Amino acid sequence: MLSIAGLSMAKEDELLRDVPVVVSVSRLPQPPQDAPGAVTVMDRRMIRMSGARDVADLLRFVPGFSVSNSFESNAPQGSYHIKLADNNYNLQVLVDGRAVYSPVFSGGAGPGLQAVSLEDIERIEVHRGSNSASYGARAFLGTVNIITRHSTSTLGQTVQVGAGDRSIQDGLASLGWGDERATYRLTADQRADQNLQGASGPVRVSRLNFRGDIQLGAGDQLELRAGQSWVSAGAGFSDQVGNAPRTRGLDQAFAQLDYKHVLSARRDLAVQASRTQERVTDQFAYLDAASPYNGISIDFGAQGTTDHISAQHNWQPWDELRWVMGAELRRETMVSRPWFDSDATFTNDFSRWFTHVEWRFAPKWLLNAGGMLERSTLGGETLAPRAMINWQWAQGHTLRWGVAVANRPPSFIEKYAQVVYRKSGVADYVAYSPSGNLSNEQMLSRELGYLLQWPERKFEADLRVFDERMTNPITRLDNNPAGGQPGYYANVQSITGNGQTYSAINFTGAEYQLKWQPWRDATLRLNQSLFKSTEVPGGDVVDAKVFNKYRGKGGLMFMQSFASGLDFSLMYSEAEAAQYPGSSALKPAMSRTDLRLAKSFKWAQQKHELAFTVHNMGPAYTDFLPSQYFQQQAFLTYRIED
Amino acid sequence: MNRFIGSAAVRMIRLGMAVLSLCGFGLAFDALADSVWVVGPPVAQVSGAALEFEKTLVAELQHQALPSHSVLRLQTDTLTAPAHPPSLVVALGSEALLSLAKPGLGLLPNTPVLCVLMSQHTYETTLKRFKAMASQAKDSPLHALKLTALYANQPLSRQLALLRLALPRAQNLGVLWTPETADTAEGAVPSSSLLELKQATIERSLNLRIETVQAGAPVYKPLSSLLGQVDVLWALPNDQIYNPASFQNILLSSIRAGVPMVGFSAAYVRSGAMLGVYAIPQPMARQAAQMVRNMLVGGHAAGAAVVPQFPKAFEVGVNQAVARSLGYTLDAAQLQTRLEALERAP
Repeated sequence: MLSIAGLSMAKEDELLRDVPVVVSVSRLPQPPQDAPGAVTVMDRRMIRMSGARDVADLLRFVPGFSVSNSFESNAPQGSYHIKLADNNYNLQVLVDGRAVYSPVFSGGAGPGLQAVSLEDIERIEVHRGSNSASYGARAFLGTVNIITRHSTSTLGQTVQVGAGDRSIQDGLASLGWGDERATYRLTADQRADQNLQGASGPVRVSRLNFRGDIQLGAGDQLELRAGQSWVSAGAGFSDQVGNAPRTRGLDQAFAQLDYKHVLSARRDLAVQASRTQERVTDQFAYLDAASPYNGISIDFGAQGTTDHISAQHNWQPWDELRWVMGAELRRETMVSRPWFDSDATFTNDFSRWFTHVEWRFAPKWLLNAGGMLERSTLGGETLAPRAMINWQWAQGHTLRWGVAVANRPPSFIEKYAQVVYRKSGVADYVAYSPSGNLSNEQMLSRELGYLLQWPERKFEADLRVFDERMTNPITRLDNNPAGGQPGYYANVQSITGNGQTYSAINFTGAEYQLKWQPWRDATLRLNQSLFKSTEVPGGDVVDAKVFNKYRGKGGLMFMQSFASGLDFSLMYSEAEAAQYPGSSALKPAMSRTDLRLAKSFKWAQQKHELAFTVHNMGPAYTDFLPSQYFQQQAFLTYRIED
Repeated sequence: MNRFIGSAAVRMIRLGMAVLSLCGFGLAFDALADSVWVVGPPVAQVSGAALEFEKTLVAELQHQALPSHSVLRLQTDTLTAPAHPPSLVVALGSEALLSLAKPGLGLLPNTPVLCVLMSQHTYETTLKRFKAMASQAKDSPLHALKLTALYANQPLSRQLALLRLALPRAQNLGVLWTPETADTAEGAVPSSSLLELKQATIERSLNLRIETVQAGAPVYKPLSSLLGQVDVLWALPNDQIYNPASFQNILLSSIRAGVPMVGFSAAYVRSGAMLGVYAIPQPMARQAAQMVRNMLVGGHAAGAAVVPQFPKAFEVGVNQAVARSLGYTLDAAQLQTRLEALERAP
C-alpha cells in the first residue's frame, strides 16, 4: 500500500513536484557573443550535406585552414595559418574532451582525426586562435572540438554503404540500444579507396567505437567510451631514394571515462580519465645501388601511450560570474628503436592547473580571463594566460579584443631523435641526433573581432583580425650528406631571408565567416581569409622563402532541403598559391567544387537515403605533394535507419 | 538562516497536518454531519508546492470558505466507510480520486468530488479508470457522479499566447504525445485534447509537429526526430513522457539541439526549461476553496454540474542561464504583465 502511495506521489503532482536541477553551469553552451574568440561550428546537417568522407576535409570550410587529404606523412590533416607540415602539431584536436594528438607523430593530430566516424559526430567546434589557457600546450594556434552524438540520439540500427570512383568502398553499421537509465552505441565503419592519384597504394580506415551514457541518478552521469581504429595507407615513391613505396599502418585504441556531477544549478564537477595507445608500422628497404647502405631496412615504427586524468569544477557564485578551475595529470610515452636508437621508454609527464573566469562586469561587457600553469618533463614550467573582452554595444553587435600567450614544448622526436642506419662492414650513418638544448615555442596572439547576429534575418557573421607572433620556432635542419653532419631539430633564433633578418614568424591578416538562411530550409555559409606570413627559412616547419604578400583562401557552401525529402548542396573552396609542406616549391592555386544530391524516403517503417556526391567537379589539383592529385570522384551512398 | 527557518516551518506544518489527519481519522466515525474531506497521500510524503497548496486549502476551507464545516485530512490508504458521509470530498491527485472508488466506501455517487493537483490529461485518463472501478463496485450509478476538477495545468490559449509573446519567431512547435491506449480510449470521456491542441495552433498560424511516444518505450527516438524539425519543444504534462526517469535526458537533448523547452512547472524552469507558465500554489488553493463553496452552496450538491476550471492566477518563469545560452533575451516580469493584459482584454 505504501509503495502504491509512493508511486502515486510520483504521478500525482507532476505539475507541482520538485525536480532536481539538470542543467547546471557547464552543461550550457556558451552563446557566440560570450565566447572568448572566434568559433566556427559545423553541425550535423552541414557535416552530412557536405558529402565529406573525412573530418579533415570539412576543415576547408573553416576560415584560415589549409587542408590535406593525403596519407603520405600520416593521415589527412588541417592546419590553421601555419603551412601544412608532415605533422601539424599546432592544433589541439579533442574528441569528446580527449586530446588526440599523437606522441609518436610529434604531437600531430592527423591520426587523432581518424578516431571516430563522421556519422557519429554531432558537431565540430573550431576555436580559431590560441587557446592554451584552456587546453594546454597543443592549443597553440587553435582547437578543434569534435563532439560525438549522444547515444540517446542514435537508438536503433543504421547501415550505410558507399561506392564509386577510385574504388571507393565505404561501409558503416551502427547499433544503439538502452532504456531510460542507460543508452549505448556501437559503430563499426570503414573508409576505403585508391588514395590520391600518385600515392603508392590504396587507403583503408577501419574503426570500431563504443559509447555509453549512464544516468547514475539525477544530476549524476557516467559516460564510457572506447574505440579502436586501424589505418593502412600507401606511402612513398618508387623514384625516391630512402622513401620506397610501402604500406604504413597506424593503429590507435582508446578508453575514456567521464563522470559528471551536478552539485547545484550553479556548481558542477567533471572528472575525465583516458588512455590512448598507438602503434605505427612503417618499414621499407633502402634501395640505392650507388650507396654502401643499399638494401638495409629503414623503419619508422613506434609505439606510444597517453594517459590522463583531469578534474574540473565549474561554479557560478552569482549571475555575472562563472569560474572554472581544474587540474590535469598526463603522461605521454614513446618507444621507438628506429627513432631513438634505443629501446628505452621516453616519458613526458605533464601537470596542469587551470582557471578561467567569465565575468560580466557591466551589462554589456564580458571579461573572459584565465590561464594554465603547465609543468612538463620536456617543457619545464610555463604559464599560458589569456584575456578577452567582449563588448555587446548593441543588440546583435559584439566587439571583442583579446590577447593570449601559448607555449609548446618540444616533442619526443624533436628532443631525442637519434636515427642511425647500420650495415655490417660500413660505418654507421647518423641521420639525426639530438641538438641538446631545445626550448619551447612561444606564441603571442592578439585579435580583434566583431560578431554580427541578426536573428530576424537568420544571419550571423564573424570577423577576426589577428596578429600572431611565434618566437623560438622549432625547425628540422636536415643532414648535410656531403659534410656528414647529422640532421637535428633546433629553435630558430634569427635567420636571414629575402635580405631581411627575422626572429619570429608573424601571421597577420583578417578572416570572416557568415551563415545565412535566406529562405526556408536553405543555408548559405561563406568564409574567406586573407593573411600574410613572414616565415623564416628552414626545413619542416617554416618556409624557405619569406612571403610578404597577402594570400587568400575561402570556402562557400549552400544547402537546400525540400519538403519532398530532396537535399541539394553545393560546396566550393579555393586557396591561392602556397608552398608544399617541407619545401620551398610553390603549390599552385587550387579550387574545388563539390556537389551532393540526396533523396530520403520512408519505406517499411525505415528511413532510407540515397545520395550522389561528386568531389572536385573541376580538374585535379595537387594535394600535399607536387606528385599527388585530388581527382574528380563521384560516389553513391545508401543509408537505412530504423 | 532563512533556510533553517523555512525547513523548521515546514516541519511544524507537517506535524500540524499529521495531527489534523489523525484527528480526522478518529473523527470520521463521529456523528459530524457537515464535514469536508481532503483526501490525499500520507502528509509526510507531501512536500514543496503541493504541501503549500494543501496547507492553504485546508486553512481557506476552515476559516474562509466553510466555517460551519469541519475539514478532515484523510489518507488514501486508510480510507474506510464513514458512518456519515461527508458533504464533499477534495481529491488531492489521481490516486486520491481512485481511492474513492474503493468498494464498500459508500461515498458514490452522492458525494460531490473536486479533483485538484492533476492536469487535465491526468484527470481525464484517471476518470476513465475511476469509472471502470466504480462500475465494478456496482454501488454507484455512473451517470449520477458529481465530479469536477480544478486542473493544475495551464489552458492552451495561455500557453500559446506566452509562446507568441516570448518567441515571436518560433513557427514550429514540437509536442511529444502518447497515443490513447485501448482501455482509456474505450472510456466514457473522449480525449479531445489532441484535436484541441491542433485547432489552437492552427488558429495562431503555428505549425504543430507531433511525435508519438509508445507506452513503455523510451522517449529518445521520437524526441530526436522531433528536435530536428522544431523551434521549440513544448512540454505538455504527461507522466508517461515527462517523469523523473526521463526529464534529465529530455532537457539535455533539447539543449544540445539548441531547441528551447517550454516547461509546465516552476520546477522544470528551475531545472533547465527555458520558459514556462504555471500555477501558483496559494492562489490555486484559494480558487479550489472557492469552488468547494460554490459546489456546496450552489446547485452541485443537488446534482447540477460544475464545469472544471483552469487556474486563474499564473506565473511566468524564465531560466535566464538557459535563455542566454540559447541566444534569447527574455524578461519574465514583462512577459507576465503582457500576458495578464492580454487575458484582461475583451
